[in-house]
Order: sequence, then C-alpha cells, then structure tokens
Amino acid sequence: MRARLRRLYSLLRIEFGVSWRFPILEGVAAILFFGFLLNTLVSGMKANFSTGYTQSVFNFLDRLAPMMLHSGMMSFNALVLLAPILVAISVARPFEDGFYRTHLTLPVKRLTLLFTKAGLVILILATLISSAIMITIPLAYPLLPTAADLFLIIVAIWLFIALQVSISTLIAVQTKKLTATVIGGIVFWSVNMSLLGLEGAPSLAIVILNPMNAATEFIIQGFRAPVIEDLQLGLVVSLMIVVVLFILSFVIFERTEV
Amino acid sequence: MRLGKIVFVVGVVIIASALMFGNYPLSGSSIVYDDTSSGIIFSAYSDIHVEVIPNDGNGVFSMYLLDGIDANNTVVQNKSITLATPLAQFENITSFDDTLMLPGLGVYALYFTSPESEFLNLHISVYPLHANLRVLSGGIVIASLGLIIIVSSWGLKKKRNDECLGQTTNSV
Repeated sequence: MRARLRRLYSLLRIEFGVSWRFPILEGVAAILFFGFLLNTLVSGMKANFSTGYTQSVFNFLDRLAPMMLHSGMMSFNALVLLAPILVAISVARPFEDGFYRTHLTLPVKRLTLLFTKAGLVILILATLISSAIMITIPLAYPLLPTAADLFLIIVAIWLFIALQVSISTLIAVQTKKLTATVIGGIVFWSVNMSLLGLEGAPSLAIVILNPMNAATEFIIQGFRAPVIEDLQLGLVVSLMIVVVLFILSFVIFERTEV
Repeated sequence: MRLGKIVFVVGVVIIASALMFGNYPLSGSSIVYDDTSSGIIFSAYSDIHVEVIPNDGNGVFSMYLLDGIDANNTVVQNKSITLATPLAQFENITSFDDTLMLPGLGVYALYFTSPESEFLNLHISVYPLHANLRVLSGGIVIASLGLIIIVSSWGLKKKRNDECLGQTTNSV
C-alpha cells in the first residue's frame, strides 16, 4: 500500500513538473479567478424593481446572492474551454512526444496513469472554480447564498467539468492528437452552448449536457429553470455518462500502442 | 512553493480586479407612470455619485435613497414610499447629479416617483467613488499569505540543502 502511494506520488510529481509546469497552473488559476470576479463585480450588483411588479422586489432581495452567483458563473461558460486544452496538454501530447514510454517505465498500471492525468485536470479546474466562488462570496457579497444553493452549484460545476474532461479524454486516447483533442472539445462546447440558446430545447437535455447552467437557472428560478425532478435525474444521468466515457477511454488506452 | 505561487497569483488577481472593477459604474433605466413608481436595487460598499436624467430631457420626479431591506418591506407590503425612512430624499427635481453618502457595504435602493403622475423614462447611473476596499483588503491578505508560503518553503528547502551538504562534508 505504501509503495503504491509512493508511486502515485512520483506520478503526481511528474505531472506537476511536465503537464502543469510553471506557469500553466498559475495562469489557469489567474484566468478563472479573474473571469469570476469580472462578471460578479461588473454585472452582478444591481436589479430593477417596480410597484407594478412588486414580487420582483421581494424575489430580488431573497435572490440577490443567487443572482450574483449566476452572473459570476456566466464567465465559466467560456472558461470551461480550458478543459479540452488542458486534457490535450496532459493526455494527448505524451502520445505525440513519446513521453508515455517514459511514464510506462514506472511500475504503474495504464489505468492509474490515465486516471491520474484526467483526474488531475478535473480536480485542479473544479477546485480552482470552487475556491473562486468560496473566496469571492465573503469578500463581495452583501447577502450570503443558502448552503443548499451553494452545494448544488458546486456539485454541478464538478459534473460539468468532469463531462468536458471525459469527452476530451476519449477524443485524446482515440485520436492521439493534440489538435484533434482541442478541436473536438471546442466542437462539443459549441454544440452545448447552441443547445442553451435553442428555443424549445428539452430542459432534461440541458441539465445532462450543461449541469452548471441548469443549476444556476434553477437557483434564480429563471425562465429556463428546470423542474427539480429533471434536475435530479439530469445530474445522475450526467454522472453516468462521465463514468461510461471514462471506462471507454480506459479500455481504449489499455489497447493503444504508445 | 507551488502552492505559495498559486495563492500569491490569486491574491494579485483579486487586488487587480478590485482596482479595475471595484468602482465600475452601474447603469439602468426606470419607468414611472400614474401611480406606478419604480427604482433600482444595487449592492454598494462606499459613497456613490448618482446621475439621473429623464430620457426625453424633461419631467419632474422625486428620488429616495433607501436601505434595501427597508425598500423591500415598504414597497412590497405597502406599495407606497410613505412609511419608509429614506437615507436621503430629493423631491420635485428635474435631474440629479450629486454624491450620496452610504453607511457601509449593503443593499441599497434608489426609488423614483412622479409627483405629477406623468410618464417618465429615467436613465440612472451609479458610480462608486472608491475601490472596493473589502475585496482589495481580501486580495492583499491572500497575496501576503502566498508570499509567506513561498518564503517559508524556500527557507525550509535551503535549510534542508545545507543540512545535507553538512552531512556530506562530515562524512568526507
């Protein structure tokens, strides 16, 4: 067990030294924090009300924090594009430069190797985004969101990133090409964003493909907010898709010649 | 060392955001007519400069600066401004361009009524006068924490290297 942990530690050290070397990790942190603060401070601080629509005043005060969260989260719609780029650097590039051969001289299973690489992208991106939210809330929010809203948003973010990373990982191990991984990731992202703007798109499909947007719409009860049943089902289906995509990636990676 | 660098970068980004967007102006429009009055609720943290002009150039209106919670209770429960305790009030004016003092970070409301019950479309701009001090000080604390981690891990590393070097010299 100890030897296994030591091997995993060595693998992580290699990953941080190669795929996440300075200033990649620091740059990603800067971009994510900057995007969230920009949207929160510029567009999340005001709303109109009228005695003609008295309910909106009441709703606004109750939902000021969710509205601010929603504004901040808008930046992550674009910033999640970092996921395929980082997967390309971490998973696809070693195919091109032959670094997997060096990796596999270590006594580690291929499954562990791919799990570490893809898992690290999810862990780092989702941790940074969650930290951006948790640090910004006490600094900039006049009213705090409820714990339930916050929990839902964090879960949805982790799922959304896991979905983007799992699809990009599958493309990476299948094509073994850095550019194909980036382009594939961007195509999936574009389809996802088009679905958001499409009139009459089923809310369950939006929850499955973009849990983050569905969750933020749900907490502000926006025009396209999904019902709670759709949200719960969508999140579970989304998680299952992530698991299936990763299993597929592992199976392909096991049989791939590096 | 790496953690320190990340924390430091995050702190610098928060400081930069507070300086760049901390006093970003909020703008919006408000329509008042007959007995329907309206306003804008916003989150603010320092004194503000407010500009209000009717979009068609003329018209008389009254403006009230309220605490957000007060605005909520008054407007929702009573549908009237009369029971509210405004922090500042300006009645029967044709435009407004002045600085308003706020007690601190919180939710505030600018509430507009038309004394002559005419249709008015008001353009409102709210300019915070100072950088967002709360975000700025938070950024400074985080950047300092990052620096402390970087310096202490660098010191630890140096100490360890010196110890190793000492052991090697002794054994030789």
